Amino acid sequence: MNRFLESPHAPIWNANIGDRIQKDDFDFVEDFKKVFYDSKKNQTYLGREGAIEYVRKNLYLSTFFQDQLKGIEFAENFESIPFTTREDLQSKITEIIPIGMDLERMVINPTSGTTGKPILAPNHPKAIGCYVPLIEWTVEKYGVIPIHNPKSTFAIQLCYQENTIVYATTHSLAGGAKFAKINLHPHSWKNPNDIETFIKESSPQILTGDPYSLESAMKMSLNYKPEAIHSTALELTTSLREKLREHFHCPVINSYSLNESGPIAYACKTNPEWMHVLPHDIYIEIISSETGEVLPSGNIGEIVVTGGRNPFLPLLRYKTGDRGEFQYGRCSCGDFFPRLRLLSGRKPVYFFKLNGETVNPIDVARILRRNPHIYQFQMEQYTKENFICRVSASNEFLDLPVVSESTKPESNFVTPKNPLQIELKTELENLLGIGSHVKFDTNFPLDGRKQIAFINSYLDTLEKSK
Amino acid sequence: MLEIRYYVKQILNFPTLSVDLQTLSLDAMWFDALLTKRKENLTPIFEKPIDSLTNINSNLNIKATHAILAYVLFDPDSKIPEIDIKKLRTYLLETIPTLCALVNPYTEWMKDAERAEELVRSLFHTLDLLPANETKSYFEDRFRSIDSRERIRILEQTKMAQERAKEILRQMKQKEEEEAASKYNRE
Repeated sequence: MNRFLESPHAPIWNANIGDRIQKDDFDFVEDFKKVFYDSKKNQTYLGREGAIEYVRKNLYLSTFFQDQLKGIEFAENFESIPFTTREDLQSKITEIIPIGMDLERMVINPTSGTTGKPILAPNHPKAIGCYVPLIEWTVEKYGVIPIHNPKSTFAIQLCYQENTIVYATTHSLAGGAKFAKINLHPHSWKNPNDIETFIKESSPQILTGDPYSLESAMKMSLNYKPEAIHSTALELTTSLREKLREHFHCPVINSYSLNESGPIAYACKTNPEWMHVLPHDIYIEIISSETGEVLPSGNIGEIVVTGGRNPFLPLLRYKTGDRGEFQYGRCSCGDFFPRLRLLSGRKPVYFFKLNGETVNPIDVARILRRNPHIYQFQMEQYTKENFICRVSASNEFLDLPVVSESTKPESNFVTPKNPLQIELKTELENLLGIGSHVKFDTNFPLDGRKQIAFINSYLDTLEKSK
Repeated sequence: MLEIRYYVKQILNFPTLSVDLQTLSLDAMWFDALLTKRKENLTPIFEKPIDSLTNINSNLNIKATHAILAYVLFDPDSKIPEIDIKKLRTYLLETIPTLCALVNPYTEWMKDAERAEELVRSLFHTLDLLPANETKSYFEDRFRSIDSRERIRILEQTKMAQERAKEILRQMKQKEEEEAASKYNRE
């Protein structure tokens, strides 16, 4: 591990993070792994009955469950249970967290913030530990045999951000195999030429990342051939998947995962447009956005999730904000868990600086997410140098001090006068590069929906004009 | 059995000025009240003289509340039937001190109609009596809704829930700043 950390080609590590697994957590994940592998072997997916059992178990632990289920014969009529919304996760989190949970073990993993309304999802190291068997099973399905050995590196997670944490650790649940999160951005290295050398000397079995970082690695001509690539967080288009496969000469596995629940589905080996439900303990429904009714197979609607194993966040018919189609039935790949086809998912949108450099929207989200006055946001680049930041924000942020009458508003958008707005404007413009202009539109609705957070209409216009 | 409002009115009209709480002997008062009620000789209702219990005898709120209750039971027009002396004794020695700790000074029983009703209902509840024109479930619902002990219990629970919520939010804020847990992928 020290060789890994102290390599002359290593990135500039800026965080010290471990898997935080204790003995009880280890046993929990081992038990989970056994049941999960057995369920996959026997094809026992959590059905409605299993979901009812899960609800019953949590009814006596979470006051939110008690409120939601009051007066409802949920065992007879599961579909009558009110949905949990993203807003509930923000405003009622203290009621959702089951009574008696040891808050000391709670962890908050920062979200990538690709949607307009960030959720601070509390989690437990043991539930995060379950990512190990889930992801390992996924890559095994694509022919990768994980090596559980302190000398081996199972995965390196790639990022391409102006600013993010960079660390290396070992995963006790993977037999001490090493893992690192690195940032491909030149800021993160003593010498940017070290990126490839470091990855080669680490020799990870797989590379993980969002499509944006994987595409960046490809554009940097990263010459490394992992056994597989595991893509999450944003929509992986078919064309990018193909390009990545050709460049890295390995299978590219798309997957669907939520911070709230962990991994949900992975791309089918035979038909990668579809994803099989991954864990055995999550119940999925597709509901009509208009009526809230459960839609039969073959219909497109919002994905609703019940179950999981995050002890701090039991999910009760949780509306994910993502849309898709669901299908039951046997599949030629051998996994008979139901299949999910995601629609209009979280497409990656890049912003451009005047000098042509790209800006990862996650960096924009990081700034807005950490600002306590911003509740919901959307960022749009509409010309080469102009950006609109639409926000729903605190009154303190919205209040404008009295300004002299001679000041004329430049446009319909708010010209920052408030120190909080000026501060945020400066921060965003520093990120978006010299010459960029950010204006605020403070009429963004706070409606709890999973808004599209990033739009680059400038790029659309350019493409159209071509 | 008379309607509850009759007894409430009795409490509201309790003749405070006719009672000298300093010199009142609770043993004598209860003996006389029950003698009048039963028209027969009785053994003392308390196992040992209540006047010797300093926590009761020195607490004017408790003494006055005893007097009010005796007034309700002693009232010649009262239609309260035979009562269980053992239950009354437990009520006077255990429940009344608790109630008086929550409702004081004792004049509150006479100033606040809801408190007067609470006192009557708690007496009836202890003695398993049901006022006229009330079902058992109505009686219990109404009693629960005005019972000070229940109210305090709910307040305590709410306070605890608020404290838990505050603690969760504090921890969440702290954990956001602290080390996360490493995971292979991001969402």
